[in-house]
Amino acid sequence: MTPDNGTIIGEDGLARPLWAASDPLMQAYYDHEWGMPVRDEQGMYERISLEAFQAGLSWATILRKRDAFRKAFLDFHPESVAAFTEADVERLMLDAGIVRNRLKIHAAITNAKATIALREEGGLVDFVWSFQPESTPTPSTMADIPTTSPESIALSKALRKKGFAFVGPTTMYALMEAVGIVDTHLLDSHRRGTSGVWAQAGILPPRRGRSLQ
Amino acid sequence: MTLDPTLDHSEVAELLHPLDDGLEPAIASLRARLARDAQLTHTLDVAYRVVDSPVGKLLLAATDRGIVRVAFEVEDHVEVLQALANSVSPRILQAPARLEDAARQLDEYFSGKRREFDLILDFRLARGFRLNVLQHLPRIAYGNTESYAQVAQAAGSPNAVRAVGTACATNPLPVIVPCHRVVKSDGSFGGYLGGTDAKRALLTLEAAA
Repeated sequence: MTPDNGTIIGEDGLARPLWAASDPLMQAYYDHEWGMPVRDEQGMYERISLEAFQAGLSWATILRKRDAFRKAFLDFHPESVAAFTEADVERLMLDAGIVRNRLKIHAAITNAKATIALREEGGLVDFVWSFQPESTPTPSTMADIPTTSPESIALSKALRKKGFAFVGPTTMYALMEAVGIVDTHLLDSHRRGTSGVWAQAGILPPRRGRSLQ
Repeated sequence: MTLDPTLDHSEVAELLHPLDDGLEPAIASLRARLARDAQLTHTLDVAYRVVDSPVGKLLLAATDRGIVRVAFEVEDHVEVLQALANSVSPRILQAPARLEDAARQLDEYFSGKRREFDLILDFRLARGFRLNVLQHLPRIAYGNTESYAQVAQAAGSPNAVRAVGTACATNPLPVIVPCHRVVKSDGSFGGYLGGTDAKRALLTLEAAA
């Protein structure tokens, strides 16, 4: 069954976007990972790397290869990847488990070094989250979901300035969606708001106060 | 001395009350000594005090690098201290003397006698784009305002207007770093972490002075 908002109702009766309904792996990713806040450096670096490897391919391809990626890139431990040499690049170019693209492999190494350098300014996680807009889209149909935003363009430029590669505005918007900086779940999705970052109306939740004594 | 067993509860309380009275200055002096000793022995990383203001109680906190946090009551002072303990250091003490200068300058500001703060600030709680935004804000002069779009431009990302909103909403140093001077392009106030009433009060104060 296909409702007219562009989603697909699964066998469990829950609506998911087309991209998440294609296979069980994608469905599990959508149900448990996509859009949940990532606030640790290694996790953020892994997401940036995998999003970069995805460029031009489907996310399903990356997800199926994710375990091989983690093995090849030593769990995306920034220090370990930053120490990769040309010999490591050649080795990875022969690893059929990952995406064998020399530019992307080089980008992963470059980005590991840039991640370490960014620690002096408070680190990758806070840097990326500093581009969080004060409100998130409230899409009713898949067609309402943007693919870039002024903030993703700004993040892309800022990361490039810090030496990161393969961080285009569209890739950065996908990153912001994936790590919970924006919530682009449809309003009636069972996953809408589950990140806890946004209140129902798509704005940052209000704070309540208590004073001392 | 023996107590008269026929005394009722209120009489006991009355007998004990003067004891409490005498204790208050002693506790205050103990606190001050604790703070001074902690500083001397380098076991104090964050000093704080609470001051009254026309926009409610403000929590002020400082590290050895400068003022690190100003918090409105609506931000929840208990939670703010907890967050400072997690992100800066758990060695936090109420040490009013360390924040005497800041308290005095805020007082002068709220009474219309001060237009600029002359304080050393510790921006460690802001990163990336948010830091760019905060560093621009003190350039908006007293009594003036800028739009979110103007601030986005000044911070180097002209289109990241809504990220300017988040940067202002997460400003660790409100009032001193004047995010209240950032308003919507149509002239309306826009949101404020201390509440819209507080923003209106600050802008009215500055317009009147």
